[in-house]
Amino acid sequence: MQSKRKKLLIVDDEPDILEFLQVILEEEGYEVLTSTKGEYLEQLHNGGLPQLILLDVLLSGKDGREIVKYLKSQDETKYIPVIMFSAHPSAEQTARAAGAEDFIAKPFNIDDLLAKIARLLS
Amino acid sequence: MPGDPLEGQEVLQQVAHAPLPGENAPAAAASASTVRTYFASIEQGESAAQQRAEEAQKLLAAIVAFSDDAIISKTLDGIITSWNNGATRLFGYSAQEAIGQHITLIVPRELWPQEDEILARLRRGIHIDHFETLRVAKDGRSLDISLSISPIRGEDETIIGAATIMRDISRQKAMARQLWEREEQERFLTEVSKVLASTLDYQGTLANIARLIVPRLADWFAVDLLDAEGHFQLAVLEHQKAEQVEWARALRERFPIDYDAPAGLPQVARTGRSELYPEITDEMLAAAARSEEELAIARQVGYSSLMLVPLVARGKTIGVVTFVATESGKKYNARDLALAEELGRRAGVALDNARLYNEAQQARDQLEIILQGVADGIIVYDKDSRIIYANEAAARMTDYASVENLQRARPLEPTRRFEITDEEGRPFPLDRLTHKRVLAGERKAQAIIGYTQKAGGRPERWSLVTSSPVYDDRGEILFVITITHDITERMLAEQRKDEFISMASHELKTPVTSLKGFVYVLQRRLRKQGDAQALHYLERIDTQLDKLTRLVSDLLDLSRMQVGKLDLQRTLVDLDALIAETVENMQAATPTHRLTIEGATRAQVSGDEDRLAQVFINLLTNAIKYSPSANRVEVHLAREQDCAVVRVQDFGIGIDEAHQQQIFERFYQVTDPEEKTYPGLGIGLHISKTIVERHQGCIEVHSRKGQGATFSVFLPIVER
Repeated sequence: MQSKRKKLLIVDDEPDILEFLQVILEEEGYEVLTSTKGEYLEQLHNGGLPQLILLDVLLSGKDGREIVKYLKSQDETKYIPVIMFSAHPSAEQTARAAGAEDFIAKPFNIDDLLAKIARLLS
Repeated sequence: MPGDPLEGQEVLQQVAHAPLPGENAPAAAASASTVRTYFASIEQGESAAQQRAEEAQKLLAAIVAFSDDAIISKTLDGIITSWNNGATRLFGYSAQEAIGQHITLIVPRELWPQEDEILARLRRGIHIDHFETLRVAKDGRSLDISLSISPIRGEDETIIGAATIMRDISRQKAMARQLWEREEQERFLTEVSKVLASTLDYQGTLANIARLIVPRLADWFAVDLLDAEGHFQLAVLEHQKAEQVEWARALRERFPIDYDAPAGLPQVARTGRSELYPEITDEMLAAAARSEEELAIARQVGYSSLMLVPLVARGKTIGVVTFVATESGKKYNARDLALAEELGRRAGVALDNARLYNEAQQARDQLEIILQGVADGIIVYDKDSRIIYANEAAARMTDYASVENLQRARPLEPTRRFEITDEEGRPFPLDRLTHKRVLAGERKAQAIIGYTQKAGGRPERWSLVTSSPVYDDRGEILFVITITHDITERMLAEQRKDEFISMASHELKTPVTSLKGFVYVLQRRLRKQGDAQALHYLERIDTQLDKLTRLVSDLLDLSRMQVGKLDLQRTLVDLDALIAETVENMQAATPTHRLTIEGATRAQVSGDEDRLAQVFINLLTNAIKYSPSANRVEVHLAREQDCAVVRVQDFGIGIDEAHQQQIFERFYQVTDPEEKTYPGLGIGLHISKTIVERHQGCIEVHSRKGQGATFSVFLPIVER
């Protein structure tokens, strides 16, 4: 029972993006949780934690970077690697400054994204 | 001792050696006392002495007879007892007519009291020497004389009469009078000059002159000035009595000047020569009058004498001055005319100055009104950057309470409340202020300046500032004029537009992300199914999506460049490697052209690798796009001095020289009809130029229409 699938959490306020990412990532063999709301992240507790979080910088009503800062400040969640994405390429600097391990600009090259995920999980 | 025979000799000697009367004044006194002595000695009646005295008497009589001076003796009551030839010559009376008459025969009536006084003094034994007074001749002429009188004493020392010597001093008097008159004239002219110089007020000057002239020099005084059409405008008309002036003005209206008259105002104006009419006769009036009525009025005026002199300024006749004597009965002569002409010259200059000053003042006032009314700020700096003029708008724009405050501000700090920034929001370097650039040698400097509250934030206002120099006749800078035009509206509109573009491009990227995502999903599925054709179509979709992405990215870049937010990640970039990679990637997608690299830069540059790549991709894309009938694009690498040079050369349609400067501008697209078939947003080159410049490099183009184009990028090398 050790071959547990790696759990990924994707947060973006665009449902279409969540949909195709879910299709692609599940085909790659990940377990995928999606959410359009940032509030969800703050309610994560033991048991439900993912191994990696994909997070958009701009969520309706919330700044993704604040969320990352929060996650990195909590003992339970600070070890989870975070990849941030955004349509603003300039957001990379501030995303990394907030604590994200990696960044990819939208519209992204899927193969690149898959490679980044694999790298962070190994 | 009287009676001494020797004394008579002495007298003789004295008389013989005394200077002849008329040579110098002391002689008259000497002669008088000598004569006194002579008469005294006669009274003695000593025989021997008498004989000598008789001889002396004859001699003296001869002298007295032929003296130029008038020698008269009289009793204490004033009866003439002797009268010499000189007296006859001077007064016109013969000795027979005069002797026995009272001395008042020759004394003007008004001076009789004076004569009484003289007689009174004589009785007291007082001499009178060189007394200047007036006497009257037989024909009634007034004579200026100088007289010396001595009392004659009898043998008991009592005074029995008086001896008078009189000298005609009319000539001296006349000369003195002339001198005095000349001095008076000088004094008058000085006064005139002072008055003329006292004011630049046109009307005031004229009024002052008129008051000086009337009634001193004339009863009537008029100044007529020539206007631009050569017609006379009456500028001033003066007489002692105001109502006369009114009457005369009315007359002038009714009897306008005849410009064809052979004499008078028009002639003086034409020739610049004065006219003098010392005596106005009735015949002259009749000859000049154009009608009976005019003649009657002219007679009424009572013309006695008339002078017309030109008003001269800067070598031109600007008007005519009229001096008329009427009730005073004055008759003008050549000397009066000379004075009047001098007056005309001085007044002419003064009036001209007043007029010029007036015009200058008016022009300045008009200019001031215009400058104050203009909405743009206008500041004039001297060559030391001090503000010498500023209008209200300028004070407002630079946020000073008033123009005075602005002028007092220190030269390098044009604003108080605001920080000034450039277009990209960076602090504006004070040495790059446009007026400083002009002072440094630029012919015309322009800049966009933003004003932000010191607290920070976005600029509240924007100005387009243009400075240009004003040179003196040596070609050196005299002033710099800076015009500040408010472009806040325009800039805000541009900013809104840029923000919109930024937002829009962000919004556009989101659906494109989804599109690419689903294409990927489909590609996966169809690969499994082996549907090659469908895969091919999906690939085409994907390519287009990438293109779309690039366009949207360019738009985003553009808008962010405008607000200064083009961020560059600086690293050391191996230029040759970057070029090689870029060309390789481009070639993979370009079957139509062969892309070759020749040469090497062997250089490292400091910069953003992605952005530099963006530039080269843009240049290569354009090279391919604009050479559809060619089959190659050449990249030349080189190292020139301290720059790495990358040249991208195509063999296509080329760029007309007229457009070469403008192709780097935002949104610029050539409007040549045949080039309409080349798609694009027209922003690629602008972005490339901005990126290159932000890397402290520059970009150039060399091309001729129909002969391809070479774009050269210069980047500063960073030594390892």
